[in-house]
Parts: sequence; C-alpha cells; structure tokens
Amino acid sequence: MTKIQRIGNILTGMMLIIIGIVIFVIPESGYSFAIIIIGLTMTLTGLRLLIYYISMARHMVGGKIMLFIGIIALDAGMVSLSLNNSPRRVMMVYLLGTYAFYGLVDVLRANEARQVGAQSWRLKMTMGLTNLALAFLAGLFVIIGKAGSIFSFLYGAGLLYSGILRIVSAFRRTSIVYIQ
Amino acid sequence: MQKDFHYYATYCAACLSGYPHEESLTIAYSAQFVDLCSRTLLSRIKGPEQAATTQLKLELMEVTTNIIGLQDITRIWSSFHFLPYDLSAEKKSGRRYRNKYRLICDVNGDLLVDTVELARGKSLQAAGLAMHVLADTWAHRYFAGTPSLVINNTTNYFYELLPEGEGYRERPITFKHNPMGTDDIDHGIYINSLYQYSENSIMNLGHGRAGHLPDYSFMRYKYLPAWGGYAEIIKDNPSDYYHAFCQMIYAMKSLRTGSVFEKEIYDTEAVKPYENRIHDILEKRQLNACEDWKAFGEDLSGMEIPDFDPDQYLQEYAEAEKDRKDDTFLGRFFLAALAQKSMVSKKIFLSGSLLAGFSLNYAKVGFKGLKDFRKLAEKQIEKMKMTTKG
Repeated sequence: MTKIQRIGNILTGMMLIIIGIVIFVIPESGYSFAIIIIGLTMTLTGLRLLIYYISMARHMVGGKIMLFIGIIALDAGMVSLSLNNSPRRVMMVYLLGTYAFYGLVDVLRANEARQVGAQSWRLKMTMGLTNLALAFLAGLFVIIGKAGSIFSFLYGAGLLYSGILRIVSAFRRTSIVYIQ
Repeated sequence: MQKDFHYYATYCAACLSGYPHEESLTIAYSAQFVDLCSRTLLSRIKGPEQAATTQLKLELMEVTTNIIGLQDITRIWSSFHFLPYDLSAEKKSGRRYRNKYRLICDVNGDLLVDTVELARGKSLQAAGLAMHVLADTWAHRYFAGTPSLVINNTTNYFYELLPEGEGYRERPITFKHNPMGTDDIDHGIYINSLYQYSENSIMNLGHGRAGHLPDYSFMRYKYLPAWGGYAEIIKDNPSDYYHAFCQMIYAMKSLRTGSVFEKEIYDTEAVKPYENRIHDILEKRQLNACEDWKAFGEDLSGMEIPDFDPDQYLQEYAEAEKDRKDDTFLGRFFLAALAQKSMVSKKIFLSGSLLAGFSLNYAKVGFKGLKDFRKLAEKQIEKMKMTTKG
C-alpha cells in the first residue's frame, strides 16, 4: 500500500466513523442519509465497472465478470436510492442481504487467502464473520418486528466498524510478489 | 530471466562472439546489473535517479499508480524488461485498451533493432544492457511492462508440459501468493501475484500473474493470456532461451565487427560444437543454473569467472570527481540506461500513447523535463559537434 493510499484509507475511515456517529445520534435523519450513501456508492461503483468493461475488460479473457458485477452494483444502487419512502422493514431486509453477501464474500476470500499462504486471512475472516453477525441481527429484528427503530443503529454500527477497520488496515504491513 | 542467464550465459555468448575474457565480463556484469540498478541503489551513490533500470519490492510497495507513477513504471519495465513488439499494432478497441495492447513484449520487434543499434559504437556497458533487453524479449514475451489486468492477467487454465516418452504430459499448475515462499518444481506449486481486479494494480505488472515461470529455462507450459481472445499459448522456454542465446551471439558479433544487425537471425553455427551441452543446461529442472553456465563459460575461455558482486563498482563511482563520473564503469552504464529509456519512451510517445510520459524534441524546444536526461542531451550535442568538425 502506498503512503497516499494509507492516508486515503485513514481519511475514509474517519469519515465513516463520523457518519456512523451522526446516524447513531440522530436516527430519524440518519435513515435517509444512510440510504443516499448506500445508493450513491453502489451506483457509482456500478457505472465505473460498466465503463471499464466497455472500454477495456470486454477484450479480456474472463472479462465478462466485470460486466456482471457492474450491472449488479448499478441495479442495487438504484434500488437503494428508491427505498426512502418504503417501509423500513424493506430496507432492513436489504441491509440483511448486503451484510450477508459481503460477509460470505469476505469469508470465502479469507479462506482462499489462507489456502495460498497470505497472512491477511485473519483480518478478512474477522470482517466476514462480523458482517454475517450483523446480517443475523438484521434478520432477527425483522422477525420480531423492530426493524424501524433498529435500522439506523445497525447501519451506524456497520459504518463505525468499517471505519475502524479502514484505519487499522492503513497501518498494516503489505507485501507483494514482483518479477524481474 | 535470472542471474544464471543474464550474467553467466551472457558471458558465454560474449566469448563465443569473439570478445576477450575481460570484455566479456564487463558485458555480462552490465547485463546482470540491469536487474539491480534501482533508485535505492542510485541514491546510495548519488547517481542519476532516472537511470534506474528496475524497481525493488519495497519501491513497488510504495509506488503510486496514478498517471505519474504509471509512466515511471512503464518507462522502466518497458524499456529494459518487456520491450514492446509492435507500437503500431491495431486492435478493434478503444484507444485506452489499444495503448496497453501495443506494449505487449515479443521477440524480433523493430525496437529490438533500435536497441542493438543504440549500443553500437558505445561502451561495453551499453552492449551488456542491450543483451539484457534482448534476452528478456524471449523470456517475457506475451506480457507487458505496465500494470494492466486486461493484458497481463491469467486464468486457472495453466498447465505445465512435462516431457514423457516422445511427447508431453500435462500437469495443472497450482499458484500460491506467498512472497516469502519458494517455487516447488517437483509438485508444480509456484508463487504468483494476487488477483486484483483493479486495472492498474501493481500486482498486474509484467508476468507477475504467471509467477516466475517465464524465468526458468527448463519450463514448458500452456495458458490463456488475457489479451489473446481465448487462444491458447504454448510457451517453450528451452527453445526460446536457446534462440535468445544464439541471437545474443549474433548481436554481439554485429556490435564488435560493425556488421549490420537484422531481426530473426541466430548464430547457430557458433554454438554447434556445444549444442548438446547448452540444451542439457537449458532442460535441467533446477531453480538456478548458475553453476552449469559458469562451468561452461570457464571451459570456453579457460579463465575463472568471478561471482557477481553487486557492490563491485559502487565505490569507484561514488568517489569519482564530478566531471569524471561518466568515465567510471557505472557512469557508462547509467548513460546507456538513460539512452535506452529515452529511446523507448520516445517511441511509445510517438505511437500516440502517454503511458511512458511526454517526449520532447531537444532540437526544437531545448531542454525541458526530467533533469537527469540533460546529461544525455549534452553528450549527444557534443558528439554531433565532434562529427561536424571531423
């Protein structure tokens, strides 16, 4: 990781922590705020990947994966932006899905990293298990009918956690293989 | 390629092309030094930063892959390790993809002729540097000296071809990403760089995704390159390394005698008496063939080949007076490196790509840009004046 990337990670981490705290403190406004953040992030990621696919990755062996990821991210982003007036239970299910998806991906990637001998697998596994735990909590509150009051807290907690991890990862030692 | 080929095999090729022992050692040392001349080393001896011909692990870890960082990386790796084959190659794609596609390295490109011609009439260090570039075109073909997922990525379709009877047996290759690990050639487990879906990740530089496979002379394998449209490539390193060796002899004979250098000519006559021995070295399954090449070189010249000492000439350069530095061993190497980097960067720029940065015509606009290249411009002007007077 370069110095600029480290600084970027620290700044992003601090921003996530601040937003997380705001959502915690003002849960009513936090709900709309959270939806906008989720929606915009996913929409922009999707657009970026689609442009990358059209301009570069369509010529690459296995490049279609970029198209699929881009479409899914864009779709999910636009759906998120339209959820402001939906019942909070819907948003909670969405949050459950998001946490479960990222949790599963992190666990699989941690397992892969462990198999190939990379040292970063423990942190990745911790991130994955935490995301799965948040997904479980979200599911639990949907079932017991407390989705409305708990959404902002759960999302705020997720942001706080991501922010802290970002800052931690900025101080991690990184190593690469290079060829000469 | 590694020290075994860049140092010891280059020494052998220099001997076979007619250079005496001491000159062959200078050429071989310079060829190997290309893999060591990093900014870190240059800062130790206060050498010109732009003469860097490689980047170390730590330097790459800290490198920024913004446009400035990318240009620096591309100047180094395309100029010295992944010489582009065809800078005018056409591809039905956008400009961004095409510019990266054009940087794919392969053998016998126009830039190879330019590289050898650039070394003509220059120092032995320049000849050694050119031999490094030439040899690497064979080892590193099909990869580009710039970070690029769409060019340098590989898939799980990767098989080693092991000689068996009259043909070959396929064995799937297992890649692992463990920077501290070593390749296990007995079980087909190799270290490579981690898959990163970011186009410009440093993990996607050169043949990182294929690990060290291109660097082993015994290796035969097949795989799907990211740029090849699902067409399989079979890489036959023993054959490629043999061609590299024969082409080096031909190129060095050309530099020594002044005869013209042309593409696709290999001096197989010079190696005929040693053909079996060379093939045996190239085919032997070992991570390091230094001992075998060294023994062959010593048999050829009847002289002892000293072990490569990376610090051998550092003190001479560091302690030389400012106006005498260019006459030291490393001073000559740095001038050759600046010239090669300048030539390749200019060609890439003229192809319509900014991946290696801007190139300016000194005669039209005077000196601008990276100050280390001023030395090169002044040397060329000096030479032109001498020629005019003569």
